[in-house]
Amino acid sequence: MSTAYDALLSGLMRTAGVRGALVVAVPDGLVVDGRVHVGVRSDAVAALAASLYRRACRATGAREGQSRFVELEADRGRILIAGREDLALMAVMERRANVGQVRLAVLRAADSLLATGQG
Amino acid sequence: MGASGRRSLQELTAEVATNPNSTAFVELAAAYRERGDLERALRLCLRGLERHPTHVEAHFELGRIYEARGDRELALDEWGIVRQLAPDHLPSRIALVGLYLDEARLADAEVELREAQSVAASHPTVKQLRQRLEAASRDGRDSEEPPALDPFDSLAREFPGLIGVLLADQEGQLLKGRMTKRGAESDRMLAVTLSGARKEADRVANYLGLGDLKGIVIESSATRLTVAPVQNRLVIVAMASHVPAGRSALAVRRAEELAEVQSGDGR
Repeated sequence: MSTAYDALLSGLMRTAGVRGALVVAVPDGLVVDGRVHVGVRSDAVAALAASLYRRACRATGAREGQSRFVELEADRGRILIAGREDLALMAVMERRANVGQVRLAVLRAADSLLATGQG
Repeated sequence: MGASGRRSLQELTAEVATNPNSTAFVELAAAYRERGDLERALRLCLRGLERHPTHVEAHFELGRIYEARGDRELALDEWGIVRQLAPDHLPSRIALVGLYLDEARLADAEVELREAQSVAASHPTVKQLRQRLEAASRDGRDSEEPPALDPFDSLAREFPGLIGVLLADQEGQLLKGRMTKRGAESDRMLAVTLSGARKEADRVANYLGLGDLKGIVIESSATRLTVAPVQNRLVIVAMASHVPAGRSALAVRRAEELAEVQSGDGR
């Protein structure tokens, strides 16, 4: 079954080093749609990362409609999250991935996502 | 409310007893505080805030109770909450300035006083506080660390666009540094919130098998905040978002180095 986010998520997954791409409802941490490699549990990632994103929005005093970009960097990979207080796009990256390239892809995809969400 | 409009202790007690949702607990707590019954005032206020967690006057009153008990840090916390809930709340601004002046924290007093002046420049108490602050500054009674001793001050000169650097412990207790303009209370709240974000990030990284957390970057339209663990502490760097990300990363690295020196000194 195809969804409104198919093209967006498939595009992100084609970027080298991306292990998963998820559209997440930020307030409850539920997956709206997603593509992940084997071994990545999308529901748990979404819940945990949404919690991190909510806290990041609080720390920076995000108001309604304001977008935020959050990057978590660890020894063996990164998670990038971009969106608003209601809907966000997440990408799980391997260490070898080109950060600049994935960052740009995530930000562009998030712009499309938010435009779709407003649609 | 003026003294003539005050209700008696009995009236207030009756109202609070018969209507648990009433906000008369604030007035009643103030009455107990003025009579010196601080424990009862405290219990009443805390209980009332459970039902009305965003009640501005209740937080202000709780701050006054804490201040009367000598719990100055807790008073600052409460008035900091008031400032978040109602930035134009003049009494809390005045109380904060007074407390900072008492503690000779002149830089913090200056920040709060400017805010108070933006709310009511001609208020007599605000004018008096300005005179007090100027006198304290003239007397050189500022007990805060001279700027040259703050390890992060040099970074602001080295990296234009740097908004501020904070060093906090694992629980988010502020150890050093300052985010300009926003004042010490905002800095404390930021450190606590970001310390929580770091714990969330640790959980995410562990769950995904990504290894140890190296840092979190949070970008808004105006600011890029970086949170980096250094030994058992956290360095928080705020940079204007127009500064290129690579330049910002350099500033974070320098801040981490300075923080390592601080940790090594056991400070």
